[in-house]
Amino acid sequence: MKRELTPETEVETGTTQVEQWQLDLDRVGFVRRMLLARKWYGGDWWFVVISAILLLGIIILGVFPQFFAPHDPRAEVGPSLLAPGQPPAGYYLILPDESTASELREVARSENDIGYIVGSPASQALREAIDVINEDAAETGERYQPRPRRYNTVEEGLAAVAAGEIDAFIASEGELTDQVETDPQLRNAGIIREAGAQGFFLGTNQLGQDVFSRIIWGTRIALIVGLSSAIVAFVIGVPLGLISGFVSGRFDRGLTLLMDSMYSFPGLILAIAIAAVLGAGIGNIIIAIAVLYIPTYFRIVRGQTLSVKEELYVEAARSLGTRPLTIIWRYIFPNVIPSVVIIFSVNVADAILTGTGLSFLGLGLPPDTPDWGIDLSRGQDYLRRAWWLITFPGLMVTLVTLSFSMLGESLSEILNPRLAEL
Amino acid sequence: MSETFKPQTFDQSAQTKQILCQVRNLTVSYKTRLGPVNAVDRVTFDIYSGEILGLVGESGSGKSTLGKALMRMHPPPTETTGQIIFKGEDIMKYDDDEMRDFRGRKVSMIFQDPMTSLNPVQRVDEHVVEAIQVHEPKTKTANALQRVSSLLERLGIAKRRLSSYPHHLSGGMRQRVMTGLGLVLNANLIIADEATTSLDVIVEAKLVDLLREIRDEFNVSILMISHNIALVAEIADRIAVMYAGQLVEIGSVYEVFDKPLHPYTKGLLKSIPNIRLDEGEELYKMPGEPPNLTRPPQACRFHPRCPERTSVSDKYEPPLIEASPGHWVKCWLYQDHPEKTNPTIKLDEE
Repeated sequence: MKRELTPETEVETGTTQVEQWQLDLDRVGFVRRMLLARKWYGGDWWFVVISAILLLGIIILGVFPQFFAPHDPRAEVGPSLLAPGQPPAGYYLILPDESTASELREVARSENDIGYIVGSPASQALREAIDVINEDAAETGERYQPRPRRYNTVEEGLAAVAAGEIDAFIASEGELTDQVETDPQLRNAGIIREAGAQGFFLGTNQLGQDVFSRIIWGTRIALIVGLSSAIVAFVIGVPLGLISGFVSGRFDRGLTLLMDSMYSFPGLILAIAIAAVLGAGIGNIIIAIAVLYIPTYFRIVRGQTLSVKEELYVEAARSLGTRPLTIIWRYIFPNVIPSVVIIFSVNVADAILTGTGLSFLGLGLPPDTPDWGIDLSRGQDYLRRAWWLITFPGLMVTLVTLSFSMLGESLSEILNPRLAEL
Repeated sequence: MSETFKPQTFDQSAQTKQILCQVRNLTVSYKTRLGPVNAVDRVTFDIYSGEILGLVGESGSGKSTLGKALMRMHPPPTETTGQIIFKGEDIMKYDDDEMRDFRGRKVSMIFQDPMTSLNPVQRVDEHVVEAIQVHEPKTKTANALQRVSSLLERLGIAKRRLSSYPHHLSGGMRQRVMTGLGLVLNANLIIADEATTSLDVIVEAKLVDLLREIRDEFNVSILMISHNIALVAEIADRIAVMYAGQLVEIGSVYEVFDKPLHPYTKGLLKSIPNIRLDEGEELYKMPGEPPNLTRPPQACRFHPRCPERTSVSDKYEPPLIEASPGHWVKCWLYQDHPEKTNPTIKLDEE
């Protein structure tokens, strides 16, 4: 019914103005709409441009991470689990009023008890402060190691201090209530760690490492894994496909069977198996992923070779006495390569995803490597408290994968002459 | 019609009847699910040097297969048997390396479809240089180009065209490039497999002229495979007619066109469309269908369609005999057989 209406009547009778493109879309059938959508998706040059710019940025990040990362990705540069942009808090030492001590050193003997709130960064502040004291006292041979006491709330902790159960309590500005000022039994003995002036752009992780720096250095690992495994797969898969398609016969059948059986495995499972057998190391990860993608290249190239070798110009080359290797290299390969290049781009994205998956599962890379997969797998333990630990690495994986496949897909749509004029 | 086909050089080639290539009992057998198919069946003929031999026949009669078989271009499992003696050497005995060297250097081929017979990603000059370097790998690119520059000019390929890709060129231009590829190595025989079929008539006429000039200039032999009989009549010195994989008649273009002997040739000539065909007069249509080569007819393969069938045509296969000097035919009409009841036609030399 709606198809019968012309745009004019629709606009005149309707109370609200309907956009022309909505009318256009409404008047075409579903199949045609899908086709049009594909044209809009594939044919638009800006799609390629956006993904290319994104990729360029990502590659620059990956090549020169040291210029963009503010901190060493492995160093513990701040308190742990600091939210993005939040400056590190200052921590105060709370003593009972009757205590004669005036600083941490005096209550930090191994027979002393020091309390703090469970899970509070205060414990880290305390540990660091003790470390400093120990360093100073290293010459005298004295060792400071107070016993930690954990409390659920500040009130409980302060009550314990007032009751003399513990010798001191550590709390940040935010945690402290005005109970310290009002309660005569308590005394604020000063700061054990200064509040930071500046926070971290994307926060810190559970080890106090800068999330932003780790993401930037992770780009390098992702690109190394993605590109090298795609290149290794290309270098092995393409010649095998060329030779197999060109020679045909028994060799071809055997190789095709092998490749097809590899292809039929679920990708990540096969990669896990290979990585588990090969052991740790970035080289082994690359090999595991490359093996995964060899059949993709092999199948594409073999299929194309089978059709190209029947072309007249190959026949003509043979009639001139050209050697088989020359025919493969100069006649078949250049005519096969355009379709492979597109596969390559999409494959890099896939390989990055698989590489991240492998390190997420704890296979391959050493645990302190600044890698997105490792960050994701560590960060999921702190999902409730620190959303930034998995959000940003996950975002980067998505972004890189998306821009690689976007470039590949849209290039393939644009380069495919049969889709050019719909 | 007779005034149209008068090749000027016929006499010259008749004087110097030097045999370039002898083909004896050449059989090409394709392996199919229905058993072997002899696309070319015991074909015997000679090619003289400097002649243009036309090879005609219906689609599927084995013309192109024969052309490729001359260069042993059928990869296994297709079997090629018989003898091909080229300049005194049996090329069926060549190994792969010798065969590669033979292709291009001695025999080259021009294909039917000029649109696809050049590598789309190579420039014209790269094609030409490669044709040379395939056989003389040490030749420098510049030297190779210098060597072929006059030849290419002779073929009408301008210098600025050398850096074009095949899709920049017209069909006729591409066929000229292909011809050039055949000539750069001074091949003795050029096999033109339907080379002019996909060109329009004007370009076709030019290419045919060019081929004839090339023959006169370089003294190459040309095997012109075509289903266009008029074209073959225009250019060829001798003509060979194939039917169902077999050679049924071969002779000089005069004799075959003026006095066709084989009933198939007669039918073929009658079915050429003619502008002088009278109103209401119907074009001759040969009865029956071309045979299925998986189960070819017994004895003479043409007998089910033959209007002049003899009493033995369906029992025995006729040999190819020389009915009159230089004019061979494979038909019982012109030879005796003990069981034959029809009279044998004697061809007297006039």
